Amino acid sequence: MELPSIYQLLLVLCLFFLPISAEAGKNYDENQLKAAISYKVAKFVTWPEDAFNADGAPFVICVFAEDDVVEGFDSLEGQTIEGRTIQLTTPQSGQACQEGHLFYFSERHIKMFDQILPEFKDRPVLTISDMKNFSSQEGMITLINRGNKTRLIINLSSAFQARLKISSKLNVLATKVIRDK
Amino acid sequence: MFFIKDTLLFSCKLLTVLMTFLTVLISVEEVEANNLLEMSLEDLLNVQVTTVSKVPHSLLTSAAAIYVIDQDDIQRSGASSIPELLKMVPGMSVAQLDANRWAISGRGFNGQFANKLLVMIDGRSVYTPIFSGVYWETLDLVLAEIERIEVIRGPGAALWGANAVNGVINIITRTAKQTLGTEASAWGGTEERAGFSLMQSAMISSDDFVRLSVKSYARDESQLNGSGAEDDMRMAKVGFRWDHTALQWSGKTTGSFYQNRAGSHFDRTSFTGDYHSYYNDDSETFGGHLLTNWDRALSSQSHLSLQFYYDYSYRDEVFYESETQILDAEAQYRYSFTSGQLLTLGLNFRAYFDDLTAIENTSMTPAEREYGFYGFYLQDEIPLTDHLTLIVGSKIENNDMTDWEIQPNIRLAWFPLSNLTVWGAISKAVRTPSRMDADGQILIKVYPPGDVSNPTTLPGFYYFTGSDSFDSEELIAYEVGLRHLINDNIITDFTLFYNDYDNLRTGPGPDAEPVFVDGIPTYVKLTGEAVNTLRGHSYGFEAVVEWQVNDDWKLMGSYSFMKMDFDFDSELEEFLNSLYSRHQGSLQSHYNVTDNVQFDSWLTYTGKVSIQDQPEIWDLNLRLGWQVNSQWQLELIGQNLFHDSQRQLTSEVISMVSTEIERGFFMRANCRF
Repeated sequence: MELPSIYQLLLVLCLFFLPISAEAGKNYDENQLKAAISYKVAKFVTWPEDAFNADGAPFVICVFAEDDVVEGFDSLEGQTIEGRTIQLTTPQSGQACQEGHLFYFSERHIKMFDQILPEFKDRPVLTISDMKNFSSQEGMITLINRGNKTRLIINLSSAFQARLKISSKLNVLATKVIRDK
Repeated sequence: MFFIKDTLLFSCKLLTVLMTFLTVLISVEEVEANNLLEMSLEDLLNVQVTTVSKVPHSLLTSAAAIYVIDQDDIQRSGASSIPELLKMVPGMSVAQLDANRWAISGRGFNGQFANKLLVMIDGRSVYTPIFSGVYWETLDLVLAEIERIEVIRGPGAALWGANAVNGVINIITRTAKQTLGTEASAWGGTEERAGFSLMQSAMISSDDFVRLSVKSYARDESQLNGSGAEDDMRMAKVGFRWDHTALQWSGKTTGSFYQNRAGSHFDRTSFTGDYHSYYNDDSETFGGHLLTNWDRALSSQSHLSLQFYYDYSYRDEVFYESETQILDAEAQYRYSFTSGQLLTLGLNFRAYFDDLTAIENTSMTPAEREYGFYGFYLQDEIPLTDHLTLIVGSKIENNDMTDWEIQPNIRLAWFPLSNLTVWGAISKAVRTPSRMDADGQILIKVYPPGDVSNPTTLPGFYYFTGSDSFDSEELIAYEVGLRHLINDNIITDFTLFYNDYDNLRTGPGPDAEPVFVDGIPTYVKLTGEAVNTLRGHSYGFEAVVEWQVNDDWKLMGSYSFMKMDFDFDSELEEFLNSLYSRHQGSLQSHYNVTDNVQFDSWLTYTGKVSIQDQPEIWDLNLRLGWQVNSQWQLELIGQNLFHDSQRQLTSEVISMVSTEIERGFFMRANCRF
């Protein structure tokens, strides 16, 4: 196989690929996007009244993840959920997050979820992760990356067990909704 | 220099074409990134995450031909060792010589003793000063430990020093913090007989993380003339890593120990009959290292890092019994000016202590030697405008073999758009003499009586012999490249290179001397002493396209073309320097069948190696992966599926017999808890 000329080929390749480029991509930070989606998802969820100790109690988000994911969640600082100011913590154990309302687990920290699941199973805590099998492991919201967009899988039965009400508007946006085990 | 003229002409044409498109592109106004929190959930779910660009931003904008193999690529390739992974990089020649040995090189000059590639793990050079190459079979890591492998084609000498001539491979491991918990793998199959790896990381304080890793495996023998080649291999390795992060000093400390026993087929040659005398022998290697690297911010603008390492290796094989110790120290200072200018200064020192006992078809005088180098480097990255960065730098090094070597480079990167980098570089690199080049002797070839190269009536044995006066090999490389994140689904990378080599090693016009055994003339000893008289140039291009076709399917293709233009004085000279394929290609497909099932295929093409009648090779690897649950994953992998068994390349040295690599299947179970 002898090519006519490497330059001709290169030129053809350039001609072929460059025209597609009119749609220049915006560079979003992947972790900020995950944080923003988790935040927006929480807006569709109602917590039982006893989930909060006091009227002015903050909305506590516990992030079990690597540093760069945690940094992504820092962008939520100062925002509110259920009319309460968000407080972010990065605990090393479930014990350290007794007051949490939303737990986020990165794929690499999923073993934390396995560890604390028995303790928090019936507590009103929304669990979110980007781990693929999260929903089948009784996780409530799974953010999966399909191609290059985020998709939601919702495990309604886990949320129901935790006395969290998930708005049907959220179900519409989900790729998959698990209703019964 | 018609080529340069042509290149210039072509570059002008190419630029014209590029400019036309860029004008169109720049007119598409760039929209400021919206605040994600102000977007609706529906919109957020439609935001494209740039997964296709696995390269960190700094690499996307780098002014060098860089290819990154990340953890996802490693896993989905189905590869079980580092050399296999390098096949996906355009411009890299990768050939398996037998069940455990590899010939790997970038941009030509391949061979078992390929010597123009620098390979590093976490900043530690793993190439041997004996022949300036790498014993790939001893280079092993738990694959899950690897964060990424950065492969830079072309010279990297201005930063990394001598021997970073045709490429640099940087293997970067994950921090212990990134791998918290336990990860274990076990596998077994026809060629990858059996093996396991275990990685355990723990937090010992809020600032300290440690990891222990273990890997051990056995690989089956390959085929030779219809029967087993008895070149099976066993390997065991343990390693640790300690990461410390604190306000002042942050650092990593790594250590490893390995032991390897591998069979190989050798030809000790004979003065009679067909002049071959095959036998099988085991080679035994063991070694280890200790490295510590500390980094401290001196101010908000300046950083200091210090690194020390010690490396020991012992190798007992048919050519030599060798013991090599390396002591290396490096200090680096970085200063970032408010203008964005980044200045890097470095000092380094390395000492080698070796002891080599020649065994078969070789010699080495003196057997013991201490040698090394010291040097400094300076690199200045100057942002000329928002869209143009100039990088100038040089390494100035003094070594015991050739005294001072200056290896400068100049690079220019142009960012006409945030997703487009156009770069060019001119760089000089040298390969300093190895111990072999200076003091060694090795049998390369046997010419039967009456051969064109041996008109006598006795067999001619050609020995390559080192020389004290052998000087460094030199390269001046001219490169231009373009890297374009076309949209969130497609990234392309093109590089055009022209390499001008001078003072390359050769051993011309051998001295012929009849050798008498028991008073009878038995053979003619042909000795070619190492001289630096070979010169010539090579050129070519490398292209990469990665395309996220849809949500569940990703395609990655690479293609490279190269040609060498040398005036060889002899057939042997050509043989020793022309192990390369003009055309090489790789096409990988990563397909998610369901959320839990992955089906990956990898097609590779290596063109013929004309000089040794090595036919072209098409090959295929397949992988089926099943994520059973959050902890368990099962994989079924098929390797080299197009051939029952196939020779991939013949070693340039007669003593080493290359075998046929067989088709293989193996199952692997991975568990994380």
